[in-house]
Amino acid sequence: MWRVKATVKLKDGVLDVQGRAIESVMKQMGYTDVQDLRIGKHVEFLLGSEPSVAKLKEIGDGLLANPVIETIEFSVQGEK
Amino acid sequence: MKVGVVTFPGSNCDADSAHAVEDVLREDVVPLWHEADALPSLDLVILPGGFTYGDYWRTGAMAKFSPILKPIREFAKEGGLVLGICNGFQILVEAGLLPGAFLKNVDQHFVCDWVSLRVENPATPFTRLYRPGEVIRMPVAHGEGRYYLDEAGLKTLELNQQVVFRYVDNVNGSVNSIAGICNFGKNVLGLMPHPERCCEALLGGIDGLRLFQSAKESPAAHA
Repeated sequence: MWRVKATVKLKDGVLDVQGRAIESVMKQMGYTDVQDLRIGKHVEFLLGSEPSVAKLKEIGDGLLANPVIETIEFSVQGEK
Repeated sequence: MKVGVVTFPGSNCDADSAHAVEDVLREDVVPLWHEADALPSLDLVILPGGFTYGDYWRTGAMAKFSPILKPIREFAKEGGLVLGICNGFQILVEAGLLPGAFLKNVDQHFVCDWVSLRVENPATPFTRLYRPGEVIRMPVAHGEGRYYLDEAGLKTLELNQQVVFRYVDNVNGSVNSIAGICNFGKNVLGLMPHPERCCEALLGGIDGLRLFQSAKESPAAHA
């Protein structure tokens, strides 16, 4: 089995309002020097065969990430 | 006129859209389930508002894989009229039938209010009965209505006059205050406001009625 992990993030320059909300709460907690808090999404799944770059691109572009506003990074590891 | 109204898991404005067509416009509604892999003969397909798939992961992201999107794409390619309202607009954008993407509203609020819109392009099958630059009132109800497109895409959109409605006061941070756009062929329209909720005076306004009437009178609707 192959464990695939992916991180989806908003592209730089796209305003992250959720991140902004959490950042303001962190400031309230006392971390007044916090900056640039941005939220991403993490997803993991197992595949029966090692995915090709093309396969990951297909899964990434359009399902797990919207390429208009998001970037996606994959890591793949063999697993028993 | 035969109007298909699609129901996805989580659609909740399908009944309102059907009501506007059937009871106000007095035309035939054909209810469509998202798993249909073919469309009957139709003049207009409506993708209504709601929270399809709970807006899980990304609004409209799951619905675009529903089987019915395949015949809808072909229908749109052949010039059939497609109207995406709110979540329907978000689905059209995810499906690539319209350009862009949606993000959470800029001020972190779910906006539920009447808004003023400017009709930017009255030369579409959906807006012929409006005057150029006319300001109309429609209700909005959305948390992820911030429309986004990069600079190059926006230039093209504006140049091709694909911006159909613009917010007079930008309620959600959409680029260029865009509230509704159409495709290059002008037969696919997506808008965040709800025209189906303002077709009867009893509900507070009738500026939405002309959108449906324009579609009804459009030659594209009777191809």
